[in-house]
Amino acid sequence: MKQILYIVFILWLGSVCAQNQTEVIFRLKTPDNFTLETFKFYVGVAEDSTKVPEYHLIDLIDGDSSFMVKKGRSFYLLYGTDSLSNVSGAFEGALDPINGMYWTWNTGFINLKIEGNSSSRNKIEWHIGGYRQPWTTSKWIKYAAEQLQGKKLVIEIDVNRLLDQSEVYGTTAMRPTQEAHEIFQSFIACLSVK
Amino acid sequence: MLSRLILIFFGFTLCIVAVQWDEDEVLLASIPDNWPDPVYDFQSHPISKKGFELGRKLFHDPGLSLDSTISCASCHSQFNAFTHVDHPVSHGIQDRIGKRNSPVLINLAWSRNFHWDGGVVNLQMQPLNPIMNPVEMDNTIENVLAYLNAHPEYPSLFYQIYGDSTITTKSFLSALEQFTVSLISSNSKYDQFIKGDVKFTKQEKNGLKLFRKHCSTCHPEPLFTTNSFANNGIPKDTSDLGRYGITMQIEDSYLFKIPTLRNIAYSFPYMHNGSFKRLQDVIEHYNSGIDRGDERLSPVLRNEMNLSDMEKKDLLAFLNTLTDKSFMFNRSFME
Ligand code: HEC
Ligand code: HEC
Repeated sequence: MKQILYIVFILWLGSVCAQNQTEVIFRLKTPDNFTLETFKFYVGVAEDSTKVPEYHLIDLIDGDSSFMVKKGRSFYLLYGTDSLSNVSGAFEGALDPINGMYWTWNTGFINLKIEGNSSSRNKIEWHIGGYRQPWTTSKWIKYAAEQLQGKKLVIEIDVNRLLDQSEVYGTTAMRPTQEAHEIFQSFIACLSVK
Repeated sequence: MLSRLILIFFGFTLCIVAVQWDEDEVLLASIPDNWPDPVYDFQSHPISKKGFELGRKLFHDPGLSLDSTISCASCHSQFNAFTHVDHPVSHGIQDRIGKRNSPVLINLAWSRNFHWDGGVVNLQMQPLNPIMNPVEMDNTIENVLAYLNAHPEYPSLFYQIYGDSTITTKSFLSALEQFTVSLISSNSKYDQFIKGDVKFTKQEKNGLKLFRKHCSTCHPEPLFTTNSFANNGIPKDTSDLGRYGITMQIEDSYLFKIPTLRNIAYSFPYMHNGSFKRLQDVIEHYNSGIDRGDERLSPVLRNEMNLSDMEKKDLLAFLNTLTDKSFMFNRSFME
């Protein structure tokens, strides 16, 4: 009897918690004439931007593209990874190097990985990372409490606009450079809350 | 009464824990008092005997490579101060040729930069490079973890240390680090001389004097490296820009990490590309082989050294005092 009560209590607690959460969902605006094979990036969640965030690996092609945050409370997302995590030992979870988002020849995370093919554009292979100043590839963005009233917060990525940058930066980017830093900034500029 | 019992209980368990740590502690080579603080935090991440032994087993296990032929020790052999002799650049599986000479693994606990270009800044993460490098072990982390998790011994060994028999990237890498960080060499004739336990010959003494004059800026005692990057004037090889490949700063081109000189007599061939076979050749290079006008050359080496034949021999005699037999032939490093 006691056990049943426990279970009921836990289920009730679960449902209460779910009601107090908002799902943050990333979505790609469908690219024209382009087949994406990979679109992955790191995003960390924290209550303020001085904290080490809790990381998620967003995989828009064949993985998780959402996570839960507290409803009705402002929060910060760190797109990319903090510099200390880049130089620390191994992590488990999202930052586990097994996820293929880590450079072994030049310590650090690949914060954004885009790969794909198109008829009009060339094959794109962008592995964007780097934590050393000034060519960092991470950015904190604050999301206000008002944006988090509903069940969902959808953040859309304008892929066409981002891929157009290949005309400026070329179709291959594989190391932490100024170009990588700028491509990352374009990525940030292509995010919008729906 | 209850609280007192709890206290006693806690006190008791604390004692047990303390005793266990003692038993478990691995005998690291003693770290001389005059050495700087290590980068690796031995206090908060102590080396346990079991962890060290597990790391040692991994280090010698060819199962980490794609075709199970090459272990870390294949390229970093203890009898050559954990480098690979006779190969100017490294040989990986199926004899694939790497682009650089494998460095010695000595006193890594004091190092902030790994690899000749300093591309790796964390020792724990370093093994991912050889494991995944196509010209080294050409494997994947998935394969390595699958191999370890299916192994008859590893899961229980990991369980004893990490309390979990499922081996993860993190537990695998930290076990390997327990071994590499323990490769401490601090008992060469030079060290015994500094402590006052032995005397140097006249030749060695003069060699030390010459060394302090010409070499110490870049290879300072007691670790014999500054851990930074320099150009020491070896013939330029345009296929390897060194530090530039990491920082993409023009002024860093052709700079390479200054290596330690401990056990140097055993770690031939020398330099990032293995271009010198003998220590005599290296000394001759510093003495007369450098183009002093090369704009990439470190300013420290601008001036001619003008060493006499005698002085070259003295310098060589000194470099030989950096051999630490108790390190080279330490049985506890062996499989
Ligand atoms: C095929 C030969 C080869 C194998 C196998 C190999 N290494 Fe290395 N190792 C090298 C070379 C070459 C370098 C220098 C790389 C560079 O500078 O780009 C190196 C560098 C290192 C360094 C950095 C040392 C320093 O002071 O800069 C460490 C530590 C190391 N290896 C440990 C390991 C471990 C642990 C393994 C096994 C998982 C391993 N190596 C397997 C050839 C090898
Ligand atoms: C300007 C700094 C500098 C000075 C001064 C200097 N070295 Fe070096 N040394 C280096 C660098 C950098 C390397 C690695 C170069 C490379 O591989 O491209 C090196 C490599 C070596 C090596 C090869 C080590 C190995 O593991 O391959 C030896 C031996 C050596 N130095 C001895 C000396 C001696 C003896 C002197 C004094 C006569 C000296 N060095 C002075 C910077 C310096």
